[in-house]
Amino acid sequence: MLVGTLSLSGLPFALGVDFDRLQQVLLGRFGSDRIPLLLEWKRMLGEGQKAQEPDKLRRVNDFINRRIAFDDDASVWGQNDYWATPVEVIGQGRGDCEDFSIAKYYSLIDLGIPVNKLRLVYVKAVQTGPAGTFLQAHMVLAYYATPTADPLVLDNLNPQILPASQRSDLSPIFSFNSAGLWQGTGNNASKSNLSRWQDLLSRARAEGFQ
Amino acid sequence: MSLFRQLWLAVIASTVIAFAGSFIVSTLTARHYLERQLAIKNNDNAATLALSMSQLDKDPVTIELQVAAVFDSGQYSAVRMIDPNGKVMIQKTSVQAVGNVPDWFIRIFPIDSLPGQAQVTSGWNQFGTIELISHSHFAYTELWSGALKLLGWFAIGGGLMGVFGMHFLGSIRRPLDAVVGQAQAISERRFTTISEPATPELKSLASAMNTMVDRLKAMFAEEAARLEQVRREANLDSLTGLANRAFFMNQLAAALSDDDAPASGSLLLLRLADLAGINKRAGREIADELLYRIGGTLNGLTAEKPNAASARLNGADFALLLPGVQDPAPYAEILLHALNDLAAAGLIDGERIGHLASGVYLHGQSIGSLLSRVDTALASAEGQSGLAWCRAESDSDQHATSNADWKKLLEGAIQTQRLRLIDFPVAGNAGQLLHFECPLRLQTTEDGEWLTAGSFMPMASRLSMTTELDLAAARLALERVAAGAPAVAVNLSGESILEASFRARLFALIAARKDLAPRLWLEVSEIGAFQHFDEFHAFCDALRPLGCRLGIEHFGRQFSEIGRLHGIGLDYLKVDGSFIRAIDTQTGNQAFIKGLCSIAHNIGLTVIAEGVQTAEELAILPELGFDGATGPAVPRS
Repeated sequence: MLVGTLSLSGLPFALGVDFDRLQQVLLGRFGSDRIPLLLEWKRMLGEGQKAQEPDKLRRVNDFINRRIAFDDDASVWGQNDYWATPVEVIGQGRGDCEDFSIAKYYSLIDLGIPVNKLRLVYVKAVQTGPAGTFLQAHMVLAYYATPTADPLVLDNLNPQILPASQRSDLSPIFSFNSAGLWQGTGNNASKSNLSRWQDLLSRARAEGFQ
Repeated sequence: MSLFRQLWLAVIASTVIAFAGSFIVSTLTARHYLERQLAIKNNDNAATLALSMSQLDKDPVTIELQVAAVFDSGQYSAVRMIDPNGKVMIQKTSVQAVGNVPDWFIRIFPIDSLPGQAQVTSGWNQFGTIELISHSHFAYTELWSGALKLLGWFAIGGGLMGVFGMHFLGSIRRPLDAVVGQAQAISERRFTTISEPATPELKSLASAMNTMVDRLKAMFAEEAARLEQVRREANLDSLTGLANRAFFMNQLAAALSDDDAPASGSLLLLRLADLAGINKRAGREIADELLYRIGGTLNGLTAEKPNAASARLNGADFALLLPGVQDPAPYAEILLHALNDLAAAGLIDGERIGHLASGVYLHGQSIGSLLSRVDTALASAEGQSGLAWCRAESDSDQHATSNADWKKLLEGAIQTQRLRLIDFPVAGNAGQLLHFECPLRLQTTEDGEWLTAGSFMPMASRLSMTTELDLAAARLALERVAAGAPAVAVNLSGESILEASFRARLFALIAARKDLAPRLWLEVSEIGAFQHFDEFHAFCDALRPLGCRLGIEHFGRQFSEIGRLHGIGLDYLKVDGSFIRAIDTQTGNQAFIKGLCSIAHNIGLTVIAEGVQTAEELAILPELGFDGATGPAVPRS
């Protein structure tokens, strides 16, 4: 609730990540095998704190794109569409386009990027396969240096960070972030009422993302 | 604050707290739920609107129309379009209509409708943020009607709880009242037992108090039995159980001089002709058997007649005193018959059986002249055969008045109120006045003779006219108290208190002057009180709440009944003059009187000596335990 109110007024999203809590959750759910990846992620975030914004984008984009393998929800979670929290992504080491975008979103917020510069964007992606081109529902993270600027796109299909104007393969449909969003009370019993996004926010908060 | 009131407050307070608590909790819960629903609705609708706007043209008219279409649905208090730099592009607001929900309720429970926001994009570019705020009036209406329903249910529930509470407290209160009543009774030295209540705590309390009361009663009974023994030894002949000479003389003196003694009566003397001879010839056992049988006959005669007394004056002499009896012949016949039977049984030699003499006396005569008259008659009987009876000559002619004349006389006196009270002081040990004892006087005719209570009350009692006289006495006593007398005692006859209507009328009479009641002392003679003890008890229960003092006069002969007095809440006892006469020299009676006073004090009774004749008698009374005295020796201060 408080977080939502804060971000509404344009202040930085987070006060920080509770790494001890994250580690406990990770240990409890995925065992000790995944701790090194968490520590690496933590180190990457630590090193990126002082960097310039474009550098932060690059570090996060590269880290997530390199260390997380792409896999679809059906094989990772046994569900058609599941939005994983960063801890779950690290725990599995795998994820689909939403999981990549969400992990990047949380990482950048931790690095101090204001939430109103970030948008999760549903896009229509034109893909080329063996049978020719086809359309695919996809999600990317867009970074707006200024409100009216041409955004930079952080994508897992194309690991390079490019301005949106150079990504003719993507056409945006709808964008959102956590600004102005009522996030509920974090009470698990009320989860059923929440959208997929709100559900994810409350799960992430429970895991230690303040 | 009384326990009962505290319990009531607890019931009320718990109902109010329960209501306030559940009202606040349920209203806050409902409010929270409604706020959440509003926020979700705002968010969802904002997202839907933003999605559709993102897909369409962004020309101002289209945007304006889309915002208007949503706003005009009437469900929103504000719809805003804000550009990426935070500037408001379009804003539409309407005032909330809250229906019939009172303002104070909205102030106390405000419902925040959190705005829903969503991003509108134009391609990759941000176009703006759409913000929606729903009206919350339906939520207020919902909350208000919920609160009203809750209030309704609690009104019903509170009422039911009140009814149950009343019932419940009633069931607590009944046994509690009984226990409290018992405690109060004990503090007034009335030792009553109660049935044990079912509530365990009260049960043990009541049982403890009952046990205590029973133990006290047993103690009293034991002490009373011991004293009864002392009384018998001091006043009764051990062989025959009749009064001894000294005590009989006291009784005779009281019958002749006491103000409320009957105006006339009879005395019989019986002398066995040859007791010494029987003793010598047949032996002591036979002689004792003879005396015992004569005692039995005399006791039988006195038992039937309340005021009567009998005695063994010395070895072979017996006496029978019959106050109020003007013709001793039937009693003489019975005694002659009894002597004949004894002779027939061989206990007495048929030649020399015994002799009887009888005499009639008038109230106020001296003992000496009465005894010498009857002795003369006895001597002449002895001059006759082996079994004879002689009447003593009467000093004066008895003017026998018929029942019908008496009735007329009494009715006339009552109608014209030819009644008045005279007074005798009753003084405490320090000489202070306790009250005036006020017997009734009745005037036979206008300017006629004033009769003492002793001369007309027996007739009034026979004619069942005592109630009117007693009520008149009580009224006169109240008048005296109102006129300034410190305290006034009046005698009520035993026949009057038998009647419930009399008790009710007396109650009404005194209740009308309740302020004077504490200075009114009401007393009933020992015989009247114990003959119909239940009615006497009812009389005490009825009159005690008024605050008047209740007592028994001429107490002592039925001393063994004292155990019955501790349950009825008496205030005082007046001990019969026959126990007081020559008390300064009679050590046996002193022991009895001391014990009587001590028992009476233990059950909270004031003890007053009646008929104190001499200064010596008066002087010893405080030492014996008396609280006050009355009689010729008590000075009129």
